[in-house]
Amino acid sequence: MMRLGLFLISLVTFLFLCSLLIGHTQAPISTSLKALISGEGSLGTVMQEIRLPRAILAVLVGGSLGLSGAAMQGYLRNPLAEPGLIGISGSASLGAVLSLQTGLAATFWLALPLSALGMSVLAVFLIMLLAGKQGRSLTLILAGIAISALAGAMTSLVLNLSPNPYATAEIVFWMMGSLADRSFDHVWIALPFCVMGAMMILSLGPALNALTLGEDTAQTIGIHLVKTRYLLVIGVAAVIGATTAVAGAVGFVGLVVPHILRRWVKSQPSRLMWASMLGGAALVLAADILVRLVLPDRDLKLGVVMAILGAPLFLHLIYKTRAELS
Amino acid sequence: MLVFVQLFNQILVNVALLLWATLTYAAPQKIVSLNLCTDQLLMLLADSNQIASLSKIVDDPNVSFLAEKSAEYKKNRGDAEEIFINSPDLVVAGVYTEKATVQILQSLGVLVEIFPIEQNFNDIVKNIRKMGLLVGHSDRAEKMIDDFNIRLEELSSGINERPRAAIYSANGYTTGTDTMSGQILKTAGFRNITEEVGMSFGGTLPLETLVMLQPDLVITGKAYPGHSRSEEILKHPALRPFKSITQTDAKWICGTPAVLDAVEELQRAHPEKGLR
Amino acid sequence: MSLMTLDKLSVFRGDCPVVDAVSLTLEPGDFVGLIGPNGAGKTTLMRAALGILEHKGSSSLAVMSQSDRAKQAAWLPQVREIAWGLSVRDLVGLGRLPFGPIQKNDRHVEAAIIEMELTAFSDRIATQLSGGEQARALIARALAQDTPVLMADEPTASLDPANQISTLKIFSELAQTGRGIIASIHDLGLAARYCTKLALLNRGKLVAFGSADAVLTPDNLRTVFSIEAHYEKTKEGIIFQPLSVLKKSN
Repeated sequence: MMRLGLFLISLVTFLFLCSLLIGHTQAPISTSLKALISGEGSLGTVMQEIRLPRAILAVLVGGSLGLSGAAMQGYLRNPLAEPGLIGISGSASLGAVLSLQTGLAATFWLALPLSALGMSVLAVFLIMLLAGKQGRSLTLILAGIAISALAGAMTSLVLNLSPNPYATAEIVFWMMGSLADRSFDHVWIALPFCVMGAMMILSLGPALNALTLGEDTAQTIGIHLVKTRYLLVIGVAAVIGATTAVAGAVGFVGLVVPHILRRWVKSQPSRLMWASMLGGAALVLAADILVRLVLPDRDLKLGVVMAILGAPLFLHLIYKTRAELS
Repeated sequence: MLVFVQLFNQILVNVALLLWATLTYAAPQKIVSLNLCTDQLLMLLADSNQIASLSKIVDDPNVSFLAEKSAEYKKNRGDAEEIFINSPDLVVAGVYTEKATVQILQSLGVLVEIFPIEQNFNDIVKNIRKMGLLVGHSDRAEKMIDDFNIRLEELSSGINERPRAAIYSANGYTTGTDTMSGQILKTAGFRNITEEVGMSFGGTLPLETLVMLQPDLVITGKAYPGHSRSEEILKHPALRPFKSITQTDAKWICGTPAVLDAVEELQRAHPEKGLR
Repeated sequence: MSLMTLDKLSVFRGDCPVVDAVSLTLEPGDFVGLIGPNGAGKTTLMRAALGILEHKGSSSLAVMSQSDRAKQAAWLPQVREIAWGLSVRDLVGLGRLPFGPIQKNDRHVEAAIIEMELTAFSDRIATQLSGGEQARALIARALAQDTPVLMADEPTASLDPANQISTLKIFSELAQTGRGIIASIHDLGLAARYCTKLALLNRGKLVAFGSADAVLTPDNLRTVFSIEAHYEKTKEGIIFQPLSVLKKSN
């Protein structure tokens, strides 16, 4: 376990450094690092104001997605669960898309992230309302699916009624997810929600472990099902709402990372959350690096690279699982 | 009385400052453009050594009427790092330019000017003037505007007959009277069919409606390279009986003096103006 | 000082009482076998007593706070759910959750593993064990919780005879240390042999509560189970074997 932790931390650190050193402006490593620390000159500004926030956001986004994926899977006791199930990413996307469509996003730059966050909050209320008073996971899944479907339908409607092809393209590209040209302003918006949400989710370690035995037994080991559900939904909504608000829709991480790491933590949900947080950060950092290395002239979107990376990983997992089962 | 003297002094000082600022405004020498329309306006109004880079799309003759001339300029990818590191003194962009890029450049202290979308010929004049001022060649801008107005006058004179025309693009999209395309149509001497169905901004016009309206002329855009399902509607058999002409987007798409070339090309299909 | 008191505990499904005004107390040293035909309400009674099912009447466990109750009673459900491939040691260790973060080599966990003869499996993945081994692991979890009260729903189902006997012997020994155990047991013979008291449930009502002699009367057997049985007290314990089915009487 210690070994896994050390490996993941080293991986994240290495990828973070790579992310800082890769970009359009070529410079020797030592020069870049000196510029990063001193902040002098154009290169210094590039390092501190363009590359650094981008790398930090990759860690925030990846960590949030990995963590919430592991938490969702642990809570729903299903390895196919992912943060999108409770409909928050769909709702955050809808909020952002509405602000683009109505032109609100053009008025002041905070408008888009705030709309995304606002819609996430609304979605949380709706989910808790729909899912009912008890803490059973089935009702939560159903409520999440309903919200997801509703948000998806509304987003399609917005695209359908788009005033012109440029607006449509803007929305479609936003939805593909990207970390390009994000600044520290984006970091400051996302950070408080990510930290708060992560703390809420990580506190659920014992609860998720207990749920291995089923909801009934978990209650008798002292777990409050309703409190667990609140912490989970609000925590996931906070991190997913914030990361979708600043980076658009980035999929797959929440599904794939816990899946890969599960066997290295001997399936224990609490340990998996920490591992997935680090693993998710590593995956998004790697994808964001690829975005800049592969086809740099064609503005490859992060969400697209993630899907391209994620699908074969998933296929590989399926083959391995089938081999184990037979 | 003393109060008035003080006020007058105050005004004098402010005017002097403003004048000094205007006179000492140094024309930018490293201009980056991130948008097709600002690319072309820039090429028309700035000196070639003032232009640091243009967006890649300006090389595409399907959408850019200066595609040949643009080849001599450097192109950018719209990436903030790439732009910032070359220390431009002015960046011009459009409303749909990537917001994150614009925002981060502004926060890094780069002067970014956004050009609003031109909805009609007045907006073209405004944007020409704005670009002229920004690049330090207001005189060229004023001349361009004068030429524009004279030519506009010439093109729109002597029109008594107004045939009914429809603009029909991919996915059945039509543009209405309150748009740039609508004004090109009107100036060329046609009546926009959308008036009859109450679509002032445009929108999707069902094929059936178009056929029933029996336009005198259908104007379609030239198909882009590669096959696209949404452009198939333009080749629909139901449209065959109608007189139609194809126009390249390049002169229609941006608010530049080239719209008058578009008007002139369109007028070839006009019974009164076209026989010249 | 009784370990658990149920006072007119009732559970309604619509208008129908699935558990009908059951009152009983669990004293230290009791190993109560909860018996009754299918659908008598045994599982419902235990879940209501624990407070994880809505009920009328009162249960001393249900009014406790979540964390206090977790230290007072351990629950072993009939549905053997193990959602993730935890190691056996981690699985058994879940029983220590009410008491804070688990230390390495927790003595309760180790003791439970030894009791349920899982030492050879302790590092293996629980979901890769056989059904019977998994059942033992889950029982070990309940034992590791080390609570004054233990409630188990069909703990001997899917165990082979040797393990059935060992498990019931363990429960019996636990009761002797001063705990209280309630276990629903299908096999009347096992229940009669190892439990100190029997609670007979029929259609939600507590029909009889006391020693095996008092409860497994031919009358009760006929009315509740519609069977005739051979009942014999030997030196080693009671031998009970159902023999034939009687015509259904009301």
